[in-house]
Amino acid sequence: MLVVKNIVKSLGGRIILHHINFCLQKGEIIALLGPNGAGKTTLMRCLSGFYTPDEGKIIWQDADLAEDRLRILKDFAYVPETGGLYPEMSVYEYLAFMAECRHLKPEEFADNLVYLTKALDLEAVINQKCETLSKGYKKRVVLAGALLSRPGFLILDEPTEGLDPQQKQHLRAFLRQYGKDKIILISTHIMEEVAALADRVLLIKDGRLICDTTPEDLKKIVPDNNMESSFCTIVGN
Amino acid sequence: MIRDILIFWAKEFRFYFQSRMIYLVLLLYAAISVGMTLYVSDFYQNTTAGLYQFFKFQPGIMALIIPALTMRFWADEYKHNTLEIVFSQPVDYAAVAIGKFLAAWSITGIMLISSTGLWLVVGVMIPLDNGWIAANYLISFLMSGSLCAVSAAAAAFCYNALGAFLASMIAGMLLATVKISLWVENLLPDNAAIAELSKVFDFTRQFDDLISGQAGVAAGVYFLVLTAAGLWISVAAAEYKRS
Repeated sequence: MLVVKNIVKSLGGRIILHHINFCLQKGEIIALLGPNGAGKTTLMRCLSGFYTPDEGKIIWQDADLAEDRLRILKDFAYVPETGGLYPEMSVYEYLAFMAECRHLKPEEFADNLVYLTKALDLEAVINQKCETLSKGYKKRVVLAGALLSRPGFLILDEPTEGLDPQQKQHLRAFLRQYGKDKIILISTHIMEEVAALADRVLLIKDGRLICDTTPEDLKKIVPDNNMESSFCTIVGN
Repeated sequence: MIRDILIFWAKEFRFYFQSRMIYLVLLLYAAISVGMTLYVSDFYQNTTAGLYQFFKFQPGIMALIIPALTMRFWADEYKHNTLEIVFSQPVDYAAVAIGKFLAAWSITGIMLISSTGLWLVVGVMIPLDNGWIAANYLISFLMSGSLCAVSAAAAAFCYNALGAFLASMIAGMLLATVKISLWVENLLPDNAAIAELSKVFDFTRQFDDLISGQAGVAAGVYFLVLTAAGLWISVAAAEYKRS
């Protein structure tokens, strides 16, 4: 279980996150929604350990991220919206480097490499330089790097951005399977993705958590049962 | 921590060879080192047994070359948005900075080794004090570590490679070519205590004294302290930029 307690984060003298509180359970796929500049990326960076919150705590299985950072981060993984690859490395070198960073044993790396390259369809590009990959492949390589240690908490920023419809479908199926016994937090602007993947929706605006509901209940906010209209209604007000 | 340092050292070290930039750096270093020794110093008139004419130029040459090794330490991490990935891994921030520093320092070691050809050639022609020269190589390696740390610290404050290169070069050049103690002696001729203190902080003086056999352990400690200070600033700057 992940508990976010009263998180406050300022950047450049401006408060980006105001006292955010929520709790995520194993087996949940959570969509993090909000207009641009709402603080979604800052929140994800706090959860990934990249930023240290000014106030509040992030608690993972009864341990505080601020106090036990290195141990807890072994169970967390973060995939940013863009970049995240070293262009001069081949896909294999990148994954091997990520495995080293996550302190995986060689046999664990070998097992997970076989599983992930197959699951994310990376076999054809395993020896290719990262800089030569298409956007869709780049996204999947970063995701594979994040999943090497089979983290219990996966944070994804716009995971299907740049993927073609078939790849999107494939990735969503993979995430649904992976999320059965893990926690996945996804930041997205695509309502179709929320409907297809999420069990729960967290909506933030101006750095405040303004809605914590299910996709079904979110739709019911407007008479036409449309998630996009509901989102606009909440954010607009 | 040691394991994390080695991971980042290996990654950065491999990169130098993958990018092929290293060959240009090695060539440039060899050309400048040999050129300065043979054509700028009094090498042909007064070759010392410790090859002083070669080593005395090392701080300036290293200050010129090392920024090319450290400029992309953090700039590339920003450019490719890999900093978020790296700092959300279960690794210590300090291990990342130290690993990068050690990779650059290792390259300076290779640069120095590549220059031993001059030692061998001169040694065939005239008698040299090989023990002294070997010690001077170690001193030069120690000095290059200090410059790598200072250069890494300067680069950590910049977001792009060009800015990092210029900042590193200015910091390195100021340290390695400006004789602070001479300035202080000229500016404050009557203040012996300050003049004496300025000698302690004078990079070129400490190095010159070491390679000419006039200084002891204290000068070595000076370079180690400077390296540690540079690394500390580098780690602090990286952490500051992250947050």
